[in-house]
Amino acid sequence: MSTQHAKPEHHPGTADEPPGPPPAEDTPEEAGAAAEETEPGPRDLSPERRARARALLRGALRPHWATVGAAMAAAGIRQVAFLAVPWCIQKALDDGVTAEDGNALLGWAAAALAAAAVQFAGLYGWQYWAGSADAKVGADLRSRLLRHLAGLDRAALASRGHGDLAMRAGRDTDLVREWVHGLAIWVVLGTTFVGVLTGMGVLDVSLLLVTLGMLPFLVWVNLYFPRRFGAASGELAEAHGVRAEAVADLLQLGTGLRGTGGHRPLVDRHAAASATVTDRTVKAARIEASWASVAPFVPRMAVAIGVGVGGLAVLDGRLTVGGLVAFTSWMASITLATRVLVDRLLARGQADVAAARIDEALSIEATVADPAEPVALTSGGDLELTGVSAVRDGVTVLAPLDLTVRKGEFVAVDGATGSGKSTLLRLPVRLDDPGTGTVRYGGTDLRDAALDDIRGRIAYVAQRPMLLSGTVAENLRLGRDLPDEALHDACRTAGIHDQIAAMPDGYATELGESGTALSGGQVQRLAIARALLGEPEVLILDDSTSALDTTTERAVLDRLRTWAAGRTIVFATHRTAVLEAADRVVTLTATGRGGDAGEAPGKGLDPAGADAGPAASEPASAGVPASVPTPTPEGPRG
Amino acid sequence: MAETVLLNEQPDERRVLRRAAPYLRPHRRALLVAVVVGLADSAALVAVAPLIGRATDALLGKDRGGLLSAAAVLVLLAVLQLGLARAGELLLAKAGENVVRSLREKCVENLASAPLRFLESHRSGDLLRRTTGEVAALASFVRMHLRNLVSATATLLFTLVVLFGYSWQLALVQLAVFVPLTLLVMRWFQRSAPRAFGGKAAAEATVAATFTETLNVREALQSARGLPGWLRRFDRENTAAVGAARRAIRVENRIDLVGLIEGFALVVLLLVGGWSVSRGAMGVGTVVVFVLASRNLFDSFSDISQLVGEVQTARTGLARLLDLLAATDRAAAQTPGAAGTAAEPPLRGELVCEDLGYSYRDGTEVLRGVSLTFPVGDRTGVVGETGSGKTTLSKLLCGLYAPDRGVVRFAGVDLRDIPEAELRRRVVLVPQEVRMVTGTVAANLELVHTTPDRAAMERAVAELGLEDWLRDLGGLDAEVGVRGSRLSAGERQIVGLLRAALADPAVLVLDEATADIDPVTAGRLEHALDGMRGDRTIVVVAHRPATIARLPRVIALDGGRVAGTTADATMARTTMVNAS
Repeated sequence: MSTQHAKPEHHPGTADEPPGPPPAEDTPEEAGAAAEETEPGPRDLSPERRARARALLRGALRPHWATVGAAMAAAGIRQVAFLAVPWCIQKALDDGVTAEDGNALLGWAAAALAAAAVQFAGLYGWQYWAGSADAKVGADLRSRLLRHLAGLDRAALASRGHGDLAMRAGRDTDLVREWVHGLAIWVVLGTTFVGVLTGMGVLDVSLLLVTLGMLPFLVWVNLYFPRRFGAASGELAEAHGVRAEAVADLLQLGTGLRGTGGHRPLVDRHAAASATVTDRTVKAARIEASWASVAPFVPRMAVAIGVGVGGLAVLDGRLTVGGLVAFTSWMASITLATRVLVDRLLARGQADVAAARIDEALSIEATVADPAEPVALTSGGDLELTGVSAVRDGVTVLAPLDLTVRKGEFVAVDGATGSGKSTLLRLPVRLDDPGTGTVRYGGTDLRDAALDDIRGRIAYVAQRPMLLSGTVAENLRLGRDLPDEALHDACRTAGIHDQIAAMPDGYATELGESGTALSGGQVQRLAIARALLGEPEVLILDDSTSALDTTTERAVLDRLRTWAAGRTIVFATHRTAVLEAADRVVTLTATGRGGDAGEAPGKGLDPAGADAGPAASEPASAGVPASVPTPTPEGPRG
Repeated sequence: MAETVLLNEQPDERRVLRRAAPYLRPHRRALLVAVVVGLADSAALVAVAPLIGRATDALLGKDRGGLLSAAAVLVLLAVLQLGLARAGELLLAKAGENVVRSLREKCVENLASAPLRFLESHRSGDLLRRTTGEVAALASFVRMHLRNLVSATATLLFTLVVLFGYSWQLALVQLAVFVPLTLLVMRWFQRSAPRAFGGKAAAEATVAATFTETLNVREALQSARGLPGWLRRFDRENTAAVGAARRAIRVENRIDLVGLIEGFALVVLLLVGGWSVSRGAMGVGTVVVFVLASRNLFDSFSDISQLVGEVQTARTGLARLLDLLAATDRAAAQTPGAAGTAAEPPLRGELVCEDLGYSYRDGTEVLRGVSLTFPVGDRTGVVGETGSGKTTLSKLLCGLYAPDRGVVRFAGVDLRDIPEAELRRRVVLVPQEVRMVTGTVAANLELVHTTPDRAAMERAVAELGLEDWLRDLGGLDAEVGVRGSRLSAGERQIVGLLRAALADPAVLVLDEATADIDPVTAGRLEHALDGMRGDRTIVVVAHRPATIARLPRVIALDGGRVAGTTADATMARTTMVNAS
């Protein structure tokens, strides 16, 4: 008699499906993301977005087609060998054991062993190449995302949570990887369906009918449950996202809130989010449990019926016992193949959604971008801001104002909290573009110049400078090719060289993500040094001495003035020492939050500069260039 | 300096279950019920092969009744299994989720209670990944794979019982071929797995951390033209992640050798079985049952071996999580008295520090022998050169850092012995950089130990004379943008001062808390904070002369030491100059 392996089907995960990359569908979270909009299912994609998503997937695959092709070829070879093993064993049973023919038994046993060896080699190649392809596609996508996002300006990313963006490089990329990994499975499916259904037909038509009769139920099971499960798992992913955001808040903000005990309410917020996660997990598990129990129930019933019907056929002599055993075995293969088929279709849908989200992140357009044909800036011109204003989220943060800074001039910008100093200072480096008005350097509108050109000439130090993880030297160089000497010189000018040199590792000292090992004042001076290293023509400082004691501050200012020698400095500050050191002080007044800024000319600049110190306060009104440098008594250049 | 407790990049994965046991214990009853139901389900599954064997025998014996009864029992079994499978999976998923929930909530609680230095010594991306990504991975393992693991193991055991029942000799031959070779393969896999999978997880965590960091430091990179160099670094990390993924696949593929061994074991089974049949020692039916049931054997083994990868990932995740819990526990325990007597000093009292010494990781002492006394109602300024240790001192005075040497006492009680919640009722720090969450102004003002209500917020706003400011901002329900991006640095500091007013502590330490606010407003706010309560002790770290000038006493720090104390602001400024 003949037989074949009857695989009493087990729920998911048998040899037909290699372990893929981490099951992305259920590791919803990478870096914390509250997906603001509910995640669209594959059906919700508009035709246009879907087309773009597919184009992205094709494009991501193109450089690695050879690897994917190799995986497919290996998978095909593997599946043929895999199906051949039970066939060889059936032959060995029929022609060898039952017929008691020693030679046939040995021959078929050897053939089975050879098939098993080929099966292994194929499987190894399949998994290796599929895994390589998915890792490489993932790396490509992360790299594309990072390159795009890193170049975007604040306004372009204003409404985007960092967690959500990081999720596109994390979870969404993983979903695409899973799809890439599974491409070779299509070859396996094709081989299985063609082989098994043909074999079934040859065996006995009634058994083929039982099989075909079962298929619609199988397809229904595999479509109905995933859809319900998909919805539940979407809600679960969202809950995970909310929780992750709560953890991110606690970790990234909690340290700063500890002083007032403000991290405790954040823990409570997390507990609420965590409870929601549990509720939704149980809901998803309920659907999943029904799915997992109904799915094998269908083929099991078919096998039971098949054994009855087929058994009667055997008794009537229309079928052999070996044929009946082969039927149960093939039933298992078909069941598995149907499940994997539907799985692949769903993974495809998920990959579409993920690709659409990645594509959407890649399509965020910079509001500050290089012009099509950049005009080269000329060195050493005046910096002219004409009628510039800024509105953020409907609130005027900078009322229209004019300001001209002559080449070589040191201008201090003073003004009350909320008067728009920081907003103003971001304009000349084009971190933002003004809502109205223009910024010119040497007569050229900065919007007509290349960003790299601008930032090579105009350097900017933020009010809260950010440090990167890495050494002091890496933080200064930022990938630029600069000799150690240059670093030391810049740090001397910024008045921090001695302190760095005194650290145990000197310039090789590692700084944390937010440079906590350094004091606020040290970070500020490091940032100044970083800006000086670019040899800028204009240096813009946003309250960069606010954390310095007055002695250090004076020393830094002195060195800066010496360094400047013909270069321009714009310095936002309240500090007396800076106001005194400046050639000229301009004072901004509050823009009147919520008020109708811009309606009154001259509102932006207030003659009565509060606390302007001994330096001359320069009143100016919109439309009138605020110039007329007033030399200060202590001005080193005076 | 106290040794800073650090997380392990690739934590020890040995005995990870034993270490997790305390978190499993409260759920042991639910877990037990789930496993028992799962066992019943597996028993029903294993019974299928012998039933088909009986049907085969019935056919060979031309027994129509036997055939039909076997088919009927198969139908019954299928129905029974439908219910068992569903119940087993659901029960296990529920119990597992409850375990994971308690783990993640404990994790967050520990992070919230961990010493500030611990958090500052780690990249927040790494901590974040452990508490979100890896927790989610663990949850999904519990939901999707744990049940397969249970059922595969049970199937394996029941199948062995069946096989030995038919022919113990053949069963022994089968096992002698299959088990040692398979175990060898498993061992080979497991030897390299922790490094391969741990390395992969670490490499991906690095890429994720750099990605998140890039979003944060984007503008600095742009304006300093540092993007190209930074991208090269990211590319290197990305390439390393691909390499780590490939290494992990190569190790994972070792498991597939089991398939080859299966083929070999079947061949041996056929040869021995064929020989036995030819000798008349057993019937063909027994060989058929073996061929059928050995699929069960192999499949459950293969299921287990495939799950080994998942188990490995989950183990790595669990180990990293337990490492986080252990490290935070350890870091918290480093603070002596933390676990000891929970003292509750009076609400008013003198703040005293004696012979304070403190250093960060690099070993340089930032504070040395600092002894100061702040009587009730005292107003003191702290000045000093940048890097002279002012911020560190303010964190020590508030108990945010534990001193390496010396002690800080409030009303005679060591700060380390006062529970955190009690401590914040007495001593509060407002830092220069005020942290904001995405949401409304009210949601941000809530971030105080008292979790104040709206009435309290409105009262505080009025007390500081900020009604106009708040109205212009759009009221308590105005959105502040992503993490407060709509507010300027100065406006955020105003929020910080409002939080201080809401916290209403006996001792208020302001660390450059008004540096970003314009001098006029700052002066007004400082005055208002003073005036709210006469007996409040105020310590002000500041550079702004106007701020210092209003204080009756000034302490100058130089190089981590007290360089002088003056009762007069003019003299203080002189001291400052002399100190440098």
